[in-house]
Amino acid sequence: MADATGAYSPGKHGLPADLAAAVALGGEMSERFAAYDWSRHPLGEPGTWPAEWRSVVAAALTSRFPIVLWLGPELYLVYNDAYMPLLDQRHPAALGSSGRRVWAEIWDQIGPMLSGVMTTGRATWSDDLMLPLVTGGSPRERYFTFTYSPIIAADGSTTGIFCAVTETTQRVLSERRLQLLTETAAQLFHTRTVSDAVHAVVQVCDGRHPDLPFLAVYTDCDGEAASLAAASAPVLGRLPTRLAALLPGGASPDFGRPLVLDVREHLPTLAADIDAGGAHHALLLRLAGALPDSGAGALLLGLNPHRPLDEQYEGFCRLLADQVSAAFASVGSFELERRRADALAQLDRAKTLFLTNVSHEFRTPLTLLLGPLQDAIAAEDDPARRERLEMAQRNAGRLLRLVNSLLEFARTEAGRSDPRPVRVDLGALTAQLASSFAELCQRAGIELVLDCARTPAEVDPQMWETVVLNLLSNAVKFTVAGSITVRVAPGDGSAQVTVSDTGCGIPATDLEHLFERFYQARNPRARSMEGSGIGLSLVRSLVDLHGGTVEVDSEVERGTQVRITLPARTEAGHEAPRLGPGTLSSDGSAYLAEAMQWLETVPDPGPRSAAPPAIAPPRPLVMVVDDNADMRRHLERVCSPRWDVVLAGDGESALGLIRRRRPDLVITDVMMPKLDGLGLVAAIRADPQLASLPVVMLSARAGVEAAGAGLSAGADDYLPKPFSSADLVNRVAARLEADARERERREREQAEARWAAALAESAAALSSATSPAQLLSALLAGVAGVGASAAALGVLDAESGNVTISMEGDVPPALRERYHVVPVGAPVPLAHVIRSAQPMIIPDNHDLAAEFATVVEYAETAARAALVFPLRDRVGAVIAAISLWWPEPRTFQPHEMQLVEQASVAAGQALERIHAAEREHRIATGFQEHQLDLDRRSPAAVLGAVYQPAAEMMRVGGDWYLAAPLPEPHRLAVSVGDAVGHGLPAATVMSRLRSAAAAATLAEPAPGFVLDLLERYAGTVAGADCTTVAYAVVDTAAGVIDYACAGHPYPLLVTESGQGRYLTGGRRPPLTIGGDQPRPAGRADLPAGSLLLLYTDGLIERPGESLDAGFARLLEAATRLRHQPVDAMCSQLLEAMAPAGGYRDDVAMLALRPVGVTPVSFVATLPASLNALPGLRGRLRAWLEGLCLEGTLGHDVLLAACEAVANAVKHGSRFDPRQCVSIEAFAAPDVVSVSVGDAGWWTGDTALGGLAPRSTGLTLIHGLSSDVEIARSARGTRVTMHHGRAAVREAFSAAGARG
Amino acid sequence: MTPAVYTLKVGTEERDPPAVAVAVAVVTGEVDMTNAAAFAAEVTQSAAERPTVLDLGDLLYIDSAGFAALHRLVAGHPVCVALPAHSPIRRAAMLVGLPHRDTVEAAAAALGCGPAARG
Repeated sequence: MADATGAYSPGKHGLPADLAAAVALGGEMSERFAAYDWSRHPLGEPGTWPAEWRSVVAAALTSRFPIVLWLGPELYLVYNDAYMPLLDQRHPAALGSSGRRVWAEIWDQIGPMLSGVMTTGRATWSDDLMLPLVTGGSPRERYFTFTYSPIIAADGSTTGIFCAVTETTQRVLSERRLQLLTETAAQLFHTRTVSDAVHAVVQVCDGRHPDLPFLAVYTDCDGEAASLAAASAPVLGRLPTRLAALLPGGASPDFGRPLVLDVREHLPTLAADIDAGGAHHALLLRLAGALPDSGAGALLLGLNPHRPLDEQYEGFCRLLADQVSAAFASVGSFELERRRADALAQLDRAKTLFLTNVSHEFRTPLTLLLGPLQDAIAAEDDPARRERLEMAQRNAGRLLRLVNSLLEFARTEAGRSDPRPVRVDLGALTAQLASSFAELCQRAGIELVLDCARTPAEVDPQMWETVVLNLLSNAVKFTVAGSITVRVAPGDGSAQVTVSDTGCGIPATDLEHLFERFYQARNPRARSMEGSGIGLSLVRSLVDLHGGTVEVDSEVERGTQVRITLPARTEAGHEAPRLGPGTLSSDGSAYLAEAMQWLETVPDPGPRSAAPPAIAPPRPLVMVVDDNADMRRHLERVCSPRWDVVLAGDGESALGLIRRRRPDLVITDVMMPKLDGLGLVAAIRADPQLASLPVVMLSARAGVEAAGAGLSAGADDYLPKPFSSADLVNRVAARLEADARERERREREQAEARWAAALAESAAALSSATSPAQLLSALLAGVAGVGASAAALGVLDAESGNVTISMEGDVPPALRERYHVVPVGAPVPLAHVIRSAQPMIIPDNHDLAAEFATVVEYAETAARAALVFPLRDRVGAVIAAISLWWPEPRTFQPHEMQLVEQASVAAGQALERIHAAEREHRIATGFQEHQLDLDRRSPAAVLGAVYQPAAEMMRVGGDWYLAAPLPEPHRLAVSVGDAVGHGLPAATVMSRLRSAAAAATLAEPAPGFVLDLLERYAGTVAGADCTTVAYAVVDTAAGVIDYACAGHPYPLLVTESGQGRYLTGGRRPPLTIGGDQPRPAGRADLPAGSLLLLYTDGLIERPGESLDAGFARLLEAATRLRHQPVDAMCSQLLEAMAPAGGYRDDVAMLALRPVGVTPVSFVATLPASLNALPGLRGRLRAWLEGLCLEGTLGHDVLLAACEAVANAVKHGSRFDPRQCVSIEAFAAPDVVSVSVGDAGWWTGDTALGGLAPRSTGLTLIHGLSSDVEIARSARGTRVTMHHGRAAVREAFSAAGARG
Repeated sequence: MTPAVYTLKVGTEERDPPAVAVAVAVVTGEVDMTNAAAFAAEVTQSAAERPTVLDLGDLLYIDSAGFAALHRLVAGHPVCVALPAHSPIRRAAMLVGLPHRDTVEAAAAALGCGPAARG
């Protein structure tokens, strides 16, 4: 045998090619085989081996299935990698060793098999053969399936054995363990006690199973906690009786994981068995207690000494313990169930006893109630009091009957009832009893059919009365219409009594419980929900006592039939004393009286408005809903002193009434026919209009649960019966008050919410304002305006120290004109507030300090009362002040001042934002205006122009307009152009082209020359491509225009009479596009009074619209506005043509009106010199005389116009004769309008001019005109005076005289 | 351009009795800011000699500068304005609050005597 070192020494001997190839493909064993020094082995070098050996060795080494080869007569082992685990510690020494040495411990088993194969050549087959291989030092129970097959030499002899083997231990073990578990489960399934379960498991595991040498169960038994309950035979009597003794080191009996116990150490009494193949170890597993009150137990299992406690083994043990635990649990629940049933039976008996006792106790006080009541009724004369006493009597009687029923019932239940049967004619007796219901049935509209044949029987008449009346009262209760039939007939040896009705029937689900005591079939269509639920149960008990039977047939909606069969008795008994007709026992009367109650209907109270006209404030209306008439009457009596009461008999009619009458509160019973109280509450809560109606619920069902049901159904309060009247009144009153408070609170909240919403709306409107005018309008329109009739906003310009004032609302024109701008030091409240940063509260402007006298005078009554608040910017600096005005003196409430203060905060922020936007806008338009300075000095025409940046950008663009006065005073060049793009680049291009055009006109104004020059120049200017230009030279002396358009929209000409046309001549391509061929200019007549309009395409373009539509729109608007002064026309056209959402493109527009006079228009310009005034006056007077105006109107128009011109010369142009003043006058049939424009500010006419009283000139302008508009802009000031003619004038004349 | 033109004719006729004589100055033409100062100076001169009634009944045109001059004359000198109802400038005079009488006689009376002369 080679030692390990030798086996590992590198092979010195070459292998034959076949084996070398196999070795190269194989794993560890191949290497070992190759390295093995076969030369010193009896088998010799593999190269010398017979061919069959070499081929099986090659096959084995390369196979992944466990294969071992036994070679030669000594059966030397050669094996592959897969076989190595079987060898355990024998590997690698086993290679080349003889079989007998390697497998000494099992040679007894396999030796004969191997030698058999060697000698006979017949192969063996072993399936799941147990071979106790020594594994890890001790023999282990292991199973194998293998075959030994011969290796046959060339000569036919067997020279070795080939063995393919597979280990099946896990499968074998699993199968046998599973089988045990299955058996155990089957045994445990039917056990009903802990002891049964313990013995079942011990029986199954009787020690014969190799994996369970022994088994013991510790559990609570015989009052001992965790003691030995049973053990399997091998260890019986040799185990400790207490679990505690087993637990190592005082482990808790609630140990979680299984504990492994060494038998020698912990179970010394079993140590002796070890040598006999007994268990070396045991496993202790916890068992759950069977009952909640029993402690934990344990399962002790002996372990197979030939198997390690591996995961599978431990899992098997746990499963077994779980099975036992589960069996215990099931036993425990069975036991609990049994105990519960016993307890219930005991409780039932106690209840019956209690009922008996209590009923007895009730009878005495009831009797003592009924007797005195009887006497009192007899002695009472007052009908009202008598009625009340009768109600008490009736209900005390009812109570007595209920008590009697209960008592009787209890007696029969307890088996203590003792019928005293007498012989009677059951037919007659029954008919007699039933006939007492005749009147009742008649009133209820039910037919009572009695079909009672003579039928001898023996009954206790008292009990029989109970039976019959119970059945009849039930029949009445559940029958709304139809009939009730009582039939008595002798049967075959029996007496048959049948009570059938055509009522609502009983559902099958209720039918089976019908005779259970306290069971009540709930039928919403019954007349009443009253009842104790013992009636039918009692009937059955009583009939049982008579030896009879009761059957019930019922069909929902069809009716119910109760059939009683009594044995016919023929033997002699006591003859019953005959009852007088209609006589009933007192209990019987009570049945009847109770049934009568169900029939009382509630009269429809009619709509609420039918109530008598209220002199006092209307009282709250309380609705009482109860199916018991007595209860209704009682509640009505209790409630009516304080509230109006309306009654309803059930939930359904109540709901209808509630919708009609709108009560303030509902008191409802719970148990009612049709719709019960809970349903009523649910219906009320589900109706949005009624949902807040308070509901007080009354019920005879006392207890927290009942109250909970009522409250959870939505009732506001729950009052158990019986209740005291005072309690009910207090609760209803409290609920009504709470409801009124709640309503008040809700209304207040709604008002506050509305107020808050209005405030928010107001604040939103304020903060969305984009101009001071909008800000003021928003303020006046919102709640924060506090109903003011006008408002003013003074904005401080920190640079100039002036306050610019905007006014909105009802403001006198004079005030508006005079105070549109004031120095911050002026004695004006707005300025004062800005200075002081403190609000001014002016209840009456007559009480203001003397310094404010002037402004008060101007304000007249527009601002008799005022609130003035400072507006602050983000950092708290006062930037403006806002003022609200009222025409009458008034006092201000704190909340009003608070509102205005809040509004002023919002307004301050809005103003800051407006300023920011304006600054941006101003920068854009300022730049453009600076670039687009309009030279108005030409005496040839009056000019107006406007530039509008694109809405969303508010920045500079490429559009321009230009007016270039020419040396001849009657000629003027104008141009409008559009360089492509926006922003500074476009503006730069625009500026250069415009300058070029202006310069070109100086050299030669002809359109062809100017545009050719521009064309050439544009070629040198980057970004000038595609610029479009319209250019025109106006000659007012000749009355013609010469013009050209380079890709630009057509200029528009509108004559005085309203004929408009586009000038479509003189076309050429946009700049830099066209060639250099000569292009003729266009020419058009320009009659006096007409208007020329040049514009860029931004004015007419709208997305999704053709240019033609834009042209048509412009033509229409310009024709309509043609009698406006050119400035006004520009701004109004801009407004009229604006697309929704503002201009997308920038717009430049220039309007021109040639000087000249027509019968209806007068257009002139003059240098800003006073010397020019008389000449103008002469021409204007001549034109006015031509109009043949009435009276002194001509003079007034003249004087006002000349004053305006004088002002323009003085204030607008500062006597600078290079400046031009323009006059445009139009005569319409009803009005003469004169517009005077200049390029400056009329600072002299405002309060800035020293706060002197209005100048005489302004007084005349205003006094002589019907209406004056003053438009101020950065470009200058334009005053337009309108003078009404004829009737219009008369009115103004009168007004003027007063002024 | 030429300035506005007015004519002022002051009556010089002797009166009987020659107690206090009043000059009646009839103004025609136009008075505006171009000639208001000259007009005022001329009237002042006349008023310095004797109380003067300014008869504006035939004055064609007078503007705010003219009214301002009249205000100063009326306030600082023995001058009274006569302005008959038919005058086109009467409405303006009322608007600017110029004190005046409807007739020359009334104006003279206001100056404390009858008219001395008519132009």
